[in-house]
Amino acid sequence: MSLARPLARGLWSEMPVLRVGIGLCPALAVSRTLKNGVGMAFATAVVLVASRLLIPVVDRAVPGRMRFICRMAVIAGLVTGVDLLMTRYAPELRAELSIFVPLIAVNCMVIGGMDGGSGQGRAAVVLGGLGRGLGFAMALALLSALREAVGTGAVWGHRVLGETFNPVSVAALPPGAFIAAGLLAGLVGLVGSRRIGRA
Amino acid sequence: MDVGRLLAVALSAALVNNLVLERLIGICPSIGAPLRLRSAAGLGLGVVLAMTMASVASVAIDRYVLVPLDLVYLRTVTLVLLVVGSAMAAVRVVGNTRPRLRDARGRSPAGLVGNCAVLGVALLAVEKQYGPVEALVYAVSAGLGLLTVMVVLAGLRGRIEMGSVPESLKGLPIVLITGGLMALAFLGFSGMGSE
Repeated sequence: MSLARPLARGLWSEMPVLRVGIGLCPALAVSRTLKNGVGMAFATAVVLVASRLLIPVVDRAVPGRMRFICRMAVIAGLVTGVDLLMTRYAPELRAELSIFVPLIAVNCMVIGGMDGGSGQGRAAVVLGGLGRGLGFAMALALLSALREAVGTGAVWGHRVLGETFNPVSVAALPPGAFIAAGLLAGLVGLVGSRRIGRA
Repeated sequence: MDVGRLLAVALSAALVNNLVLERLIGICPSIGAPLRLRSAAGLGLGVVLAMTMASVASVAIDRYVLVPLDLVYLRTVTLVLLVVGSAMAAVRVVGNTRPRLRDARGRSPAGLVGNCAVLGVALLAVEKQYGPVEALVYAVSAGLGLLTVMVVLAGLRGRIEMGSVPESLKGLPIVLITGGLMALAFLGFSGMGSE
């Protein structure tokens, strides 16, 4: 299946955060708890897929040098929409994610894939975006579950590690984010047993 | 506006709440920065320049246009467009005055815009309700903090590449872990100065 390939690429062989060093900032910043991680991943995936659907339309209407500015304006508009929806339906999550919701607009995953590959069909570009979004979600879920478990002894608010476990609070702090991501990236690389690319 | 407050803002932005290590913004350029000092400096200079212009403009427009006219919902769009403009200007300035500092990433505005640090600092400055002067000080010192981490991490990466790292940790993982240890060290600054 030729259409399955772009999907699978983002999902595993080029999984954001853990295998390719893109999308690191939001991933490390919001992965303190699983709930935040999943919420962030969902918002990012929506913007990612929607932007890939809309960008070709913008490109056709706008020529040359103005194209980049118009693309950014469209993406910023999409992010504003997601932001307003989150404020309405998930205000607590929105408050926890704070500036990282507007920052989706300049996420390297969103900006980086705008041109798609040359010679790729529309469907492949959109599916590539979906694959990346899902890969990002998977990476964030792994990372945030690990950090929440080690940092608080619970996952999604439910206690999973026994009463005798003493939470390691550094896991919830920024250094813990770096170290957990590094160890997870190593583990994922070991499983994939391929060299890990760099941004 | 007293100098003491500006000093506190600067100290906090550069060290206590270091962008990369505590705020977790701008990690990609620090981790992926070119190992050659000259290209790293070109990239860093562009980032700091764009960051400063974008923050001051954002704060001013937010305070004197968006808030009085009740247009706060346009904040993201406005700030993103300001960042795009600042990035384009910064690329032009760095390219014209220091042609030798140009490198592939510093040359295209997309490389600077995709750098979440620029928008991140503008957003933080607006969120903290800084005035234009404070925003200027904040952006410059945050940029210096970012540059410091970039340069130190580039040096460490050069050393790491020569060391014997376990096969599965080579590349991205070991750099992340190194960044974590640096962040741990920077935790020592917490409590100094307040924003």
